[in-house]
Amino acid sequence: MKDRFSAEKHGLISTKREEEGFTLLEVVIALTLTGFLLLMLSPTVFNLQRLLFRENEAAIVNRIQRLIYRKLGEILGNAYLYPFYDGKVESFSGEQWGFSLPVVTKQGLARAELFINGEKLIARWERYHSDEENDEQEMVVLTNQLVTSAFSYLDGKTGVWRNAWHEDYYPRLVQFNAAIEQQDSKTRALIPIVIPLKVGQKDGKNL
Amino acid sequence: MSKESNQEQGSALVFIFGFCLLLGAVLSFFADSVNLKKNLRAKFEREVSLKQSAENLTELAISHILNKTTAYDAPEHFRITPNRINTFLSADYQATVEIRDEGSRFNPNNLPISYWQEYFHNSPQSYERLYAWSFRQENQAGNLSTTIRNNYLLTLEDLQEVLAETPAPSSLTIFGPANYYLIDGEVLVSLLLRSGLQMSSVAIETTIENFNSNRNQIFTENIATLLSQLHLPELPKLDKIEQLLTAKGSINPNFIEPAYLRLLVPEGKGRDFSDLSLLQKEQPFISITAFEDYLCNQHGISISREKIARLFSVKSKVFGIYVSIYNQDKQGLLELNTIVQRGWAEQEDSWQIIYRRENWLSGKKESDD
Repeated sequence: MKDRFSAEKHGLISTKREEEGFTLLEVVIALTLTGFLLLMLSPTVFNLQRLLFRENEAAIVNRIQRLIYRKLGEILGNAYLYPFYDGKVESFSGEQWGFSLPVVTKQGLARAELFINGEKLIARWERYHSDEENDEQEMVVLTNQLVTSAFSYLDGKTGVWRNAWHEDYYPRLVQFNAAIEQQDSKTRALIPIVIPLKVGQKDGKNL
Repeated sequence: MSKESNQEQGSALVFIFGFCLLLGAVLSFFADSVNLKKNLRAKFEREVSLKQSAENLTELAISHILNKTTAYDAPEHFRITPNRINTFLSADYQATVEIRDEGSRFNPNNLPISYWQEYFHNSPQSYERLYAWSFRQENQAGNLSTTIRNNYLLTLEDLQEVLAETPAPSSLTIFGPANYYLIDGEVLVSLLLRSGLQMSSVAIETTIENFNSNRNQIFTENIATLLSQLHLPELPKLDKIEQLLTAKGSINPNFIEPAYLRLLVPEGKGRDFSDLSLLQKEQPFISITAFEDYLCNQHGISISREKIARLFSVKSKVFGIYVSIYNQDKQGLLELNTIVQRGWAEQEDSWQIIYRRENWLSGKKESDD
């Protein structure tokens, strides 16, 4: 035994397979098995493209959702409460299609707007009392795939959601509801985004 | 024979290797895509979690202030232990929470020019920049100035810009109402205008004269009574002017800086109040009477009880809460600066957030990259 193995190892004795190749039966069985495997995998292979497309669409919707959440949070998180009543700085005002309010930015006080324009959701900032001639307003299109969208505002005094806001105090919460039109023309609703407005809220133990 | 066999085995190896390479490429594409999505979601979740931690720490600071049962506020009362802070954070992060008294700081928006001159006597450039900012005419690029201030420091960024100092000096503030007993006619008129009152130039001049000639004659904390003494052509809306002007003591002697105290007490000029800082830390004033005794016994300053009660209070009214979250490498991630005003609508345990600024720092960007 020992001699035979050492002889095979050194190529002195050839194996049966090397001499004769596969039999017809072996080839037929192999082809049949491969065919079965391909048959079983074919739906997956054919749906792979669709799967990737859907995955990509879902990822785009998630990214849009996160982007809107971030921008809404950034704007409302830095909301500014103008302490005077001389009308030089307008307070928060909102409609179903958008809202505007004073915010604190790195450059100082600015007016921020978030509004729906057709299928677009646009964020815009403009500095108050800017001395610089080249200081243009900043604008970002957050998405251009909106189909049905609206803002609403929670009145902290009454606990009622409103479609428009023109009070001299700030709403407690701002909500954004929207749906996105995907590339396959299907609409997908975004998770409602609700952001609190901390500034200007009056709180207390006995309230 | 042996050579031929080896060649055949080699071709199978190449075939298998090629197949594995293809499979690897497909798998790595999927893995990369999944990894990218996972990273994006993880960063977003971390961002939301950090923001919530900053909110929670701010709420902790507010409740820490409001739940103090002592009749006075002192620096020692504003400290929150690291153990309490850490309960609001995951192990990957650290945070500092600083509570400060904003209402006891020098507020250029609400103090007369004479106070500015005195306060900034070592830094005349600051005074000049502040004057140019506050008295500049609206919609005019020239150097013409107005008689009444009409431009205010609204944000901390404004304060940095005007004083050309970053960060803004910690001894100054832009928050809180003006004190009736610290203003002059010009500041009063500016406050009336800020409350939304329209005044003619004649009315402005008369009001300034009236106020300056009858200044500090009546001591009451009722703003309506004080304004009625001024014979104004038209009275401002009380609910609005009371947000801007107070006649109640609001400056806490446990937090005031010597440079500001010098301006507020008679014969204060030239005194250094060098013992004040130590007293504030070690033996804070527990009442206004204790502070009155300090001024009288330690510095020989006599100030009427009415006036001292109208200027000072050992209960702070306007607080600043600064929350800074950083990672284990001490890189700043997020800072949240909140200003809280206590005691609106005559309720001691009520509060209102009057300013809020959240700022993502470079540490976040680096860790995101």
